[in-house]
Amino acid sequence: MEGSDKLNLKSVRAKKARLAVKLEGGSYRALIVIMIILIIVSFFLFFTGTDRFAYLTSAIAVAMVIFILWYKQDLSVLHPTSDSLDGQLSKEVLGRLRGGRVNPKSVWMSLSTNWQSNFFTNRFLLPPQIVEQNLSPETTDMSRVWEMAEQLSAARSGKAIEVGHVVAALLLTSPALRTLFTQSKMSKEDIEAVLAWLIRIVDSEDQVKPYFGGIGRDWTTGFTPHLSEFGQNLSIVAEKSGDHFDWLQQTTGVVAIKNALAEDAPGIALIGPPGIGKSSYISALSKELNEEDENRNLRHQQIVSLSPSMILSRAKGTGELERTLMTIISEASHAGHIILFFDDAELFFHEGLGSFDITQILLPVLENSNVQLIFAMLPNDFQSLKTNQSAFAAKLTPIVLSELDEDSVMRVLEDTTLGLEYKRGVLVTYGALHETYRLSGRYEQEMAYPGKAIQLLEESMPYANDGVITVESIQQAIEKTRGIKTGSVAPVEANELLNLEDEIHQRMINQSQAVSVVAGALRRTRAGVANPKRPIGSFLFLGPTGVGKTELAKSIAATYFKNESNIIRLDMSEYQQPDDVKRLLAGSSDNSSLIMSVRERPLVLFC
Amino acid sequence: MLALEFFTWWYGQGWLRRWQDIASYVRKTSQTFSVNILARTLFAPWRRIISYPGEGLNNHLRAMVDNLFSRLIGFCVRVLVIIIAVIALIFVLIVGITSAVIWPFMPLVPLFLLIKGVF
Repeated sequence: MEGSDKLNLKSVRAKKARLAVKLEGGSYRALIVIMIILIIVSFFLFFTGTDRFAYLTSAIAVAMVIFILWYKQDLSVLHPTSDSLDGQLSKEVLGRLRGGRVNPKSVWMSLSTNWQSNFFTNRFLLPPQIVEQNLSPETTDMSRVWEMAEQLSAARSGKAIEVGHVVAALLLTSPALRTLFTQSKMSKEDIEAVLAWLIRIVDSEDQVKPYFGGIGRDWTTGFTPHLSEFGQNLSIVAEKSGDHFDWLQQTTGVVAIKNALAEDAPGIALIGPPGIGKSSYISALSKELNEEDENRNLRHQQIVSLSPSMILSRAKGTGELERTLMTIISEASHAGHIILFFDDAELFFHEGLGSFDITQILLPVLENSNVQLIFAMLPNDFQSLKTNQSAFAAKLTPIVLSELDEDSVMRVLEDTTLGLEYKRGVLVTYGALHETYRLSGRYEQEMAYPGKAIQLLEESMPYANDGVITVESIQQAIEKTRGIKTGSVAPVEANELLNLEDEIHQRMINQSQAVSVVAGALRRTRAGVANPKRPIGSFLFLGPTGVGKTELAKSIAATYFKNESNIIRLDMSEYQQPDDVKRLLAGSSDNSSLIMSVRERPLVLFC
Repeated sequence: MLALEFFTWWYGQGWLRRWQDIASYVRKTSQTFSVNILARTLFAPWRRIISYPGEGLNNHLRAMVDNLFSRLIGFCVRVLVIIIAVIALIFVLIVGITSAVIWPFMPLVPLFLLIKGVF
């Protein structure tokens, strides 16, 4: 069956869609202005006694009111009506298609100016003309496009086939465009992922604002003047701008916290590495509680985040600090609807610069008070708490957050991208998001996903090329901030790599075999054919004193790592006893340890 | 063809929606004024301002009076808001029902005005 046969562009729905598209934007606003002017003129004419003209202008004004009502409530909405293709297509698609030969090329030309089409071309840096050139002009090819669009929209049952579905179907069914995508290292899954991203944006526009309780919601709860001064009410923030936390509300992390709260757990320890999104989970929980319908004890409970730095900066001495905290907790308890959230909770558990130990104040609260507390902390900090404050730790319900999978991280990145693009006035390509995920996973070991990916994306903002963040921008950010080359090899660098042996030989004489082996390993790594999970190369230089073992290492550092100081040199004579191994591998607590040195400079030469 | 479609919608889905909208506006108005919450907590103390009784009958009596006063304030504010909500609901109902009743006659209005203007 031919594509044009499947689609009836002479149907009533198609005609209504065309009329609606014609009226979109400027025309609709002009109608409204004319209608208002006519109503004012009618009143004026009635007032001045020129009734005949007043009736005529009123007749036109009322007719316009009727037409505008029809447009707003029927034409501009145009819900799907039947299983036929024209019954399923959205107003934006149906209204832009013209009669005659309906083929992939003509459909693209009709839809290419729509924002949903631009969403695809921008994310893939694909000029609309290239898409047009690579689409078939054959009407027979259209049936595959419609079938694909129907398949892509099948998950959204009861909703129309959007412009995005049709554009994705055009891209997926064109062999020439698929080849182009493959050459740009993009896959079918990437097109589907961008479509899912786009449809999330489309659906969020139709979302009904949840009911948060109205004006009398907080009249049964107490005043919290101190708490408002020292804390941030996350529930109010989520109420105003928490739409992007929707999907996080259903994750096991949020469900686990909510269940613990429902079971009256006095304290919850939210445990996870930095960057895993502990604060985001709490924001999602705030929104979940705002919308809570089943559990009356949790309904309209509000989460207030306490800032340790603000409390510390205001309190002059230990006594005042304790008084302030007791006042805050007392207010929260009395208010009856507050859950306290201690972000960076480790700062509340030990004495030090910018931190203080309040476990002795909080322990009776956990034992007797009706206010529930949530502490966000790192795994190591929870272990130390268990060791040093076992009674306090025993009162907490631990909830360990696990790292998000790739799809979820990409989703977080997509949501973050929209905000960054708006703030910074840039455009981020989908390839750049993929590269952000890949490179942050490879070179950022201190943080967990999605935090490390978001951090890298933010770091890449200054490297936008003409306002566009591309794969190269992300690679540049890694190169400039961490000194690691990840991009393709430039001609100058290629020349250097090819002549690496000569470069090294400028500093040292002979040892040609060793130099050649080392240079080969460096070239393989830079070409991307080496195993990224293993060192660039492990070499054992053997020889008597003075043959150039150390000098070769220094030469490599100077030529390849661009600085002779890019060496972590270990004098093994200092590590001869079994106990010395502990010193060598000391963890993050010792800044001079081997582990910390490697974390600081992941691309470095060991000698 | 489109004119027929307009009349089909106006006297079908359009008119039905007018009636459905009344229920929706009533619900939204009731939610905006938190009528359910206010009715459920009608006698609760205002913003949880309560006194805790100390030792002795005197203190107990004083706390009871204070708490009664807090509840009275809460009751007055809530009743006042509920009354405003009821007025708003009546207004919404009147406007909603009127618009739904005159809806079928609206397409005739321009015709009527046109005739009045010409003749």
